[in-house]
Amino acid sequence: MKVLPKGAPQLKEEVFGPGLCTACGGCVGYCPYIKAVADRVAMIYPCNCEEGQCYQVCPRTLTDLPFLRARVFGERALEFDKFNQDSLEAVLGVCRALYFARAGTAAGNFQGQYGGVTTALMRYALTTGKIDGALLVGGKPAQPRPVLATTIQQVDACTGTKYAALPTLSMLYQPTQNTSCLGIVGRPCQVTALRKMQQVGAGAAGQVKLTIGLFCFWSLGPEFIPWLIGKGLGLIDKMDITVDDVLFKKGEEAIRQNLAEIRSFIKPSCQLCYDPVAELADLAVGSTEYEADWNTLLVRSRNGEDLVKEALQQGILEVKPYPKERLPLLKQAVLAKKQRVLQALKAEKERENSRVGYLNLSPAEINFYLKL
Amino acid sequence: MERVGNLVGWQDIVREEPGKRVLLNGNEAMARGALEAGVHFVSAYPGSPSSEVTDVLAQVSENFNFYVEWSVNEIVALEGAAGASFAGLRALCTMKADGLNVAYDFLTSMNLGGCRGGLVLVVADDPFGHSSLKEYDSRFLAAAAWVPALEPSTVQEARDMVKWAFYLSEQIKGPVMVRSVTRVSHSRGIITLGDIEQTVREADFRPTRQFHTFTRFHQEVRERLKQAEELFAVSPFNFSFGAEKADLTIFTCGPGWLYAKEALTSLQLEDQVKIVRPGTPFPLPKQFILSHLNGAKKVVFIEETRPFLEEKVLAFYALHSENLGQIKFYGKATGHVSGIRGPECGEMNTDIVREVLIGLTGRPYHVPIVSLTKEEKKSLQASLPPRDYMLCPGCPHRASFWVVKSALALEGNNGIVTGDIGCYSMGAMETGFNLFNTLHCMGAGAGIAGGLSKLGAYGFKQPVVTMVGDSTFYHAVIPALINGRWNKANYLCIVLDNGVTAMTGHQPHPGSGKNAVGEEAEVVSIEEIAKSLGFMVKVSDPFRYNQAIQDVLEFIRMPGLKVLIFRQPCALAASREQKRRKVVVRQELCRGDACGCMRFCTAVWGCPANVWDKEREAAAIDPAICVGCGVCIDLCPAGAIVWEGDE
Ligand SMILES: Cc1cc2nc3c(=O)[nH]c(=O)nc-3n(C[C@H](O)[C@H](O)[C@H](O)COP(=O)(O)OP(=O)(O)OC[C@H]3O[C@@H](n4cnc5c(N)ncnc54)[C@H](O)[C@@H]3O)c2cc1C
Ligand code: SF4
Ligand code: SF4
Ligand code: SF4
Ligand code: SF4
Ligand code: SF4
Repeated sequence: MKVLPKGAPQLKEEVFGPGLCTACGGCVGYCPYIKAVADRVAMIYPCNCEEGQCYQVCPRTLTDLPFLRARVFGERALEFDKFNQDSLEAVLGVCRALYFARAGTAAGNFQGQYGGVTTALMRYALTTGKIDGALLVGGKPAQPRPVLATTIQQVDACTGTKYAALPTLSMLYQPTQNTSCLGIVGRPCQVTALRKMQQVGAGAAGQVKLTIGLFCFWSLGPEFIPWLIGKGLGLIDKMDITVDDVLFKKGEEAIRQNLAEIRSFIKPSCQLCYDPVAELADLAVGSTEYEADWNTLLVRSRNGEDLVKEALQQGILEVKPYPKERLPLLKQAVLAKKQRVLQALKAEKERENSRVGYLNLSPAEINFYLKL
Repeated sequence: MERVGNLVGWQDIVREEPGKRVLLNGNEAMARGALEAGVHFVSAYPGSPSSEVTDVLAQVSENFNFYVEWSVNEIVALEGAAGASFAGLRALCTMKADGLNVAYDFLTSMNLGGCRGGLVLVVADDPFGHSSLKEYDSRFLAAAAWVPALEPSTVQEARDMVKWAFYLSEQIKGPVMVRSVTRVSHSRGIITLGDIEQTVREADFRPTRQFHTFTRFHQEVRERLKQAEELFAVSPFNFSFGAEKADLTIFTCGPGWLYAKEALTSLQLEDQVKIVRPGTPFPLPKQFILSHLNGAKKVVFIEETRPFLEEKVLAFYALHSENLGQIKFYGKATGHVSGIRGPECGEMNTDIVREVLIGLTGRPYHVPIVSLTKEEKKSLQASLPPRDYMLCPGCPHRASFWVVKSALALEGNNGIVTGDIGCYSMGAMETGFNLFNTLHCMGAGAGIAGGLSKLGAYGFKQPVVTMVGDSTFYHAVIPALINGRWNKANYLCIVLDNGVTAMTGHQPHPGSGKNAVGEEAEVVSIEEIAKSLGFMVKVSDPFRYNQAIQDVLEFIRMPGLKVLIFRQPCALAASREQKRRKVVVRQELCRGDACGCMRFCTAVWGCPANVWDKEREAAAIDPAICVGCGVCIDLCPAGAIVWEGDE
């Protein structure tokens, strides 16, 4: 991995200053200079270290994607010069299988955001001892908090999407309570940060054996929760972004809000995010935008594949083929985002031909997207 | 009777018999002067370098049966003392220069109607700002208020002048000020104790007596000043020294007298130069001054801070120059008398006087000690660390600053912190993480915060926090809070409550539960006051870092004016009271200079007890000064700082 000899001053200048911090938490909790409270992350005092871990792990500093893909997926690295427009992996990243999926009959009794695939798999990994702790986001949508779940009950209590960006990775710097194998559910930026952390051996990142990335086109900044509370929605149980509005649920009560207002809270960092489908995760899970009780499940690594196979055998998971007619929609959404970001990054500053903004990509990859 | 701070001879003041010679500092001497004058009522607000006058009197009040109080601020103190004077008693009020501004509204009013029992105001200036944010000259304020002022040069004189000031005050029926400076208040000298006035007075305020403030009384004050000048002229406080007749004459006031004398002796100029020492700068006795201007060709002025004496003498000269002939003047106003900070700034000393005298007389002078070359001086200066202010080990203010620094960084949007006066003024310095954006005078922080928070219409969106001390809260913050409530201000007021007025020597305040003489007193609760004003109030512990940050964030975001009280006893006061747990560093875990710490505890946190062990290249704790607050344990990112026994 290309690592620049840069540290805190540059992190401040390149990431915090322009508001590009994704609140992944990768740099939080290691040293006394960077601190997070709830969904806010800040450098509270200038640390003058010129070569620092914070800079190395941040998903918004130089990120060598080809290198990281190769580290996670080995020989299955992507060959953009051989891809054509129809190639599935060109847009979705390394992909061993793509399904509609949902929690199976043996998965247990909980209510997931959609199909509950994420919770079902984390639960299963925990009960079977594949992991002894899961890094999740618990609490209700207006009071989200990082949780290191070590029991099924704790995992169940973390179901549902919280649209605030929580710096959960910071927990990897806290002495873990006798855990040695961790699972993690994260936004794609967090998965990238985790991979970078694993590269430099930061915190307990080496303990993470199972990574489920969530599909994510944006998350919401720190003004979102006060807004929610201001609207009298501080106690909602569930929040969902539908095709044309936002749905809040409190018990049986359903409240709908205009999406436009919420869009104003989108974090600036998300506008430059190249990875809406957690390319570096073992498994990536999203909605189907089609059938509310199902998830889109993307199997990426061998590790992820093994877990899914086992879960299917045990009735933990249920899958069906990804509907052919839906595929172009998914691909188009991801492609459009990647193109937008590449263009924005390129426009921002023309750099050496393999670098666009914070990304280090092969010229083939850049060409592939920009020419489509 | 434990709280004696830096008093040296207060016990001698009580124990020793009149006629005995005892070693006292200037403030103790002034206290003795008040005692000898049979003072009945003492009130003060603490402030360096004045505090020990009342500190001592509080210690001995039991023995002599008079009343002493620490008041909530200077104007209240002076008003109380005036009450006693109106009832015919002798009253003393002490304060530092800054406090005179606070008391000034009342002083200028009360001076018009005058008073009855001797009323003496001791004001201590702090040239160079040894323990103040500003250095200034209260003689100008005395003059502007038309209040007669005395200025002692020595410890002995400090006692004599305070004692005599009571007599003067009763003669002219108006208040009298004694101006001290740090070098008089805090230096030590032998004085001979005098008798203590024993007459018993009964307080009675006759219903027919009136003490009012009306413009027409100005004429009376003018007459009073004339009377004071006459009494000054015959007082023992104006004298001359050295040559009877001399071309070169030094006019000096305050400790300048000692510097001038020393300079003269060291240059062996006693028989060629005359020193004129008026001890009564306002109103300056005209005949005394003119008689000494007569025959002089060159006049040098040596006085503390501003050219007060100089301007007065120059004015006399202007009116009488025909008779006095040509005189050339050398002073601060002329720019000739100047220390390293230039004229009118900084403190006077013997070297400054000597330099002027050498310049005027050409008298050779051999520095008796080793003389340094310019280069040597330079390298010596470079090797001296710059004077750095430090908060004490375990000081709760350091934790409070770190909490607010963190919270504002997290809140974003360039939050502004307005500071205030106390130990915690160090929030404006490196030791306080350069947190304060403004720092002025008692109570200013809250007022400024209120103003800033009303600028929304002009696009001002930054969060505003003011940090005020507990003593400052009572002293001057409450009106600003009421104003804020009334005018819908929007800021967070953080009260740093450490239970005492720490900066000035741990005097109690209305929240301490004790009064000046150590009796139990009603606690005037900060939170009750704030609540009764209708504010959202919470008490938070700055040592619980994460919780405190959350409290600040929560409060900043609430609309309107909010009050958060950071409560944690002053480390110095607390360490006297209880034995603390020991803290150690597991040096094998210490990250030191590496990324992940960068010597946080010593380089940033800066508790003096967090030290660097050069040999082991790791941090350590200085057990001699660590008070065991435990905050650095929580902040060390490596878990290397631990309680002893937890290793
Ligand atoms: C900010 C955000 C934006 C998203 N945007 C999209 C999108 O645009 N399109 C799409 O298809 N899907 C998106 N998702 C994913 C989707 O909302 C579901 O989380 C996902 O499909 C998993 O569903 P499930 O039924 O398996 O959930 P569940 O079984 O309920 O499990 C949800 C899991 O997500 C974890 N989690 C919740 N909030 C967060 C968070 N903020 N950060 C990290 N982990 C969290 C929980 O701990 C839990 O383990 C987004 C998720 C997040 C957090
Ligand atoms: S991770 Fe290292 S470089 Fe970055 S802020 Fe912390 S100590 Fe400084
Ligand atoms: S994106 Fe993550 S690593 Fe980068 S600054 Fe923000 S929290 Fe730290
Ligand atoms: S859009 Fe990208 S940067 Fe924003 S939260 Fe999602 S993964 Fe992170
Ligand atoms: S415990 Fe730490 S912060 Fe507290 S006094 Fe000791 S060294 Fe200083
Ligand atoms: S804060 Fe902790 S790790 Fe850092 S220098 Fe001090 S003792 Fe060592």
